[in-house]
Amino acid sequence: MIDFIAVQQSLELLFGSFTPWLVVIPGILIGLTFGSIPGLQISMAMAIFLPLTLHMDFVMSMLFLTAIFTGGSFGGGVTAILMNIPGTSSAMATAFDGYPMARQGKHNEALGLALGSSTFGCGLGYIVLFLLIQPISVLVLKLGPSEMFAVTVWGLTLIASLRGDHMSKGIVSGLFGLLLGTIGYNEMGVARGTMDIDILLDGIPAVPAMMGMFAASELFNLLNAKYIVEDESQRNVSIPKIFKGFKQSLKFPMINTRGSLLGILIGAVPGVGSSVANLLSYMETKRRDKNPESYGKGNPKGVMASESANSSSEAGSMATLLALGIPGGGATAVMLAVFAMNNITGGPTFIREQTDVVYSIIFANFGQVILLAILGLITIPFLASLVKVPIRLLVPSVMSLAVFGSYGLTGSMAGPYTVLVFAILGYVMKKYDYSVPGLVIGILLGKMAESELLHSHQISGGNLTYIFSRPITLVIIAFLLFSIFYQPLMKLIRTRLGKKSLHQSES
Amino acid sequence: MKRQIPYAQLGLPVLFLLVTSWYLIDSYKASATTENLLLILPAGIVVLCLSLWIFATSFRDSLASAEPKEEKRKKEEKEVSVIGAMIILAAYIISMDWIGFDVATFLFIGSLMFLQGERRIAWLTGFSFIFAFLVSLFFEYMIPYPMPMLLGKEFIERLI
Repeated sequence: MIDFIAVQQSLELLFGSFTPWLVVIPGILIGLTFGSIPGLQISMAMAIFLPLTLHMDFVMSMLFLTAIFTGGSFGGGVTAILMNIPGTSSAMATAFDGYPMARQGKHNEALGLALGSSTFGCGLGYIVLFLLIQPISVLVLKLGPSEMFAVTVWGLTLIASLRGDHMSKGIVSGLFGLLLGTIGYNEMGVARGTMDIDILLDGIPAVPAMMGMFAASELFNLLNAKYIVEDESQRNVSIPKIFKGFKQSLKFPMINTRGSLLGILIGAVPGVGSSVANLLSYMETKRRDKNPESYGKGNPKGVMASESANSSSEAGSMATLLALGIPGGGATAVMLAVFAMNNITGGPTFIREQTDVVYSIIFANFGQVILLAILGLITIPFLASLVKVPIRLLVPSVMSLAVFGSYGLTGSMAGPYTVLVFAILGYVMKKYDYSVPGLVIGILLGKMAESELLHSHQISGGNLTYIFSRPITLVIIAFLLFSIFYQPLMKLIRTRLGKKSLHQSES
Repeated sequence: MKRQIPYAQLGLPVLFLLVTSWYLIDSYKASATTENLLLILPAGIVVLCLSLWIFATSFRDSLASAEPKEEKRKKEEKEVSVIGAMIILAAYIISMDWIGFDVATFLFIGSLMFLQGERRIAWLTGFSFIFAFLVSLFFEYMIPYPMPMLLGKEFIERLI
């Protein structure tokens, strides 16, 4: 499984000269910066700095871009914790508990926890990638449209079941989002729901919608407060507390390991990957916890579960890129451009013939993990100072950043208008206990769900029994049903047991 | 006990009902093939049924107890601020294409700070100007698309 000669060659490639490492620190810092600014995406950072790779060889280019990827993955979590703005959909679950922690004055610990779990997840992700790159590539090839559709619906169901007591509102939010996500042209070239507005032909811009739903709607809620953290004594930036959070994250190896493994597996599924991985890990940790009610109110385990999964999904998406040449998302799509620029095609042949290059990319990421921990610990104190900014300055500034960012993402006024519409919708939905993440993930996955369902329909000729010939689909459907019925079933069992014990004590 | 009809609360399921019904009709008109309606039709039907269910249960649960006056007043005050902020945000986004991103941002920051109780002129104008100018400039340099600006990088380049 491991080619030791290639290992030796890759080490020579990496450490033969210091030059490849020169780009790693700037790369991580670029990623951290872009990830921490609402509206700027990792893929955007990679695209902006892509021309610089023209002067680099393939390994150095990949090192530079993976460093941006690594830094950016953590950076997205910073805004999720401090502003409730998940920089990317992969940091969505980080905001569920990270932001409540920040509002309780535990922003230092939350950021430390996120950094600890991110480094753990990223490190473990690349170890697994090193050991299992060849089997993973075989497994990913087995995933057809029916499996992809099942994974998509599973992700959506998880979000819906997050609402707990308001499951019907969760499901309606998710499905309404799914419908919104299908607006525009479908694969058959039919345009729906566009109201003759040209910009809607490509669908609703998902990331600006996400920024409106999460950021702007939350900022409306903050309006009459003075600071994010009300208690002045808890508003300090404490390096020992950040370290404490970092160390605390390492005390929960099970949560981090589970999150990392889920991240690698789900992260390898193109398109769905990191968006679903963090939610899945969050839900699984919540489900297994003795006190699931504490999630969403500032439980540190929620932050760890999400961050370990989204960081390790980077390794999963790299597996798909290296083994199949398929980009899992925007960031890996930019990396694919580097492949093309160097006349390299990812796939089994690439892995077999250039194993040393593949290993050197993986080994370089081990170094990046250590550098991320160091650079993260240095930069977090500056980022955490955000809690000292008065709300009257913070609200307009962040709203404005979201508007600029949305314009940057779409290149037209479609972005800012999307932010406006979804900010108002998000505020009202939050007020009446609907699932805001459900609607967002629905929009994100709508197009993909429809396309995968359509492919399944075409392959099966409309025969539903087709899914019985797809064991992986059946397993995913089983998980899906389990996610839906687990909470109501447990509730029913608890009520029954409670009544029984009451009867016994009465008699 | 007084029955209060929660109009705002009932408005959301009604919105889901209306938008989904319209979308289903529009999709059907666009193409009535299985391929086009494969996902939209079942998902839409579930949304319609659930929205009706939520509407009915919200209406049933509307037997609300009277809220203490002080709490009600605080809530109303907050709602007024939120609606004010929404109007300012809408005005900002609608105007930025006409008056330039930098000027619109300057006015937006100042107005929203004013709405939140900031009355110091130096802060209202100084902070708004510095933030609006720097952010507009940063994005103008970073984004590969043209951004309508009154000052922007052209102004800086002319100064240099």
